[in-house]
Amino acid sequence: MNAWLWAATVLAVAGLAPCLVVTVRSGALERLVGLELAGVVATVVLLLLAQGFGRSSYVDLALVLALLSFAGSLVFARFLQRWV
Amino acid sequence: MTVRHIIALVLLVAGVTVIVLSCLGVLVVPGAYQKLHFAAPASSLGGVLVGAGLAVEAAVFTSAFKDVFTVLVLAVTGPVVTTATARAVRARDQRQDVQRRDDRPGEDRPGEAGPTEGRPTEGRHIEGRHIEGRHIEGRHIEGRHSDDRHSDDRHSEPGPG
Repeated sequence: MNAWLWAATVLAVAGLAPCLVVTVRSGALERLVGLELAGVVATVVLLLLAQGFGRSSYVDLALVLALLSFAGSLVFARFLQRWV
Repeated sequence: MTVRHIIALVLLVAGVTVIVLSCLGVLVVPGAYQKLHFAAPASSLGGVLVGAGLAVEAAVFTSAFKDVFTVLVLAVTGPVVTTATARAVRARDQRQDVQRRDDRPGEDRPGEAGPTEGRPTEGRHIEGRHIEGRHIEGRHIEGRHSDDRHSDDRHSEPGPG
């Protein structure tokens, strides 16, 4: 394992686990914050995995996740702003 | 191990540290506003640091173009999402304030415009009541005992976040 894969592992364990805990506790908007942060962490993890495996085509996955998590977070925020 | 590789590693470690710390901060602090404060640096600072590490490692700009673009997307959309979420939190708090006021119809406060009024207005009203209490009680300078129930009710309202 090279440094990029180690960094991806550390992020996936120490970064995604707190987001998961936040996402299953407390109120709706606090959970939304955890979801947004989990999207960012997952994007960075995919970037690092692409670099670590040496497959530059895997970066597309990170790019698509960044765009889609942005759209999803905005939709959730709009929904919660009106109805919760 | 070239100098470029070392610089890339330092940037990578810094970015990963920022992201992990912001995740732990979001886990620890209470309230949506505080959680938002800790969630914001992960996209705008941590992601950019990791992307800079990737770009330095790649050396040729065209091979790291998609990495840099992805990180730029993160950095641009992060504040937008944070603002939208904070707006949703504010709307929820205002609705809760209005609901709490409707639940206690006997305690209408004259002169208060509505839920958009901030905390200082409430504070001034509380102070006004305290001054009244002080006048009635004469020498009792603290003057908070006569109004303790009301002021406790007001102060116990949870603030935003």
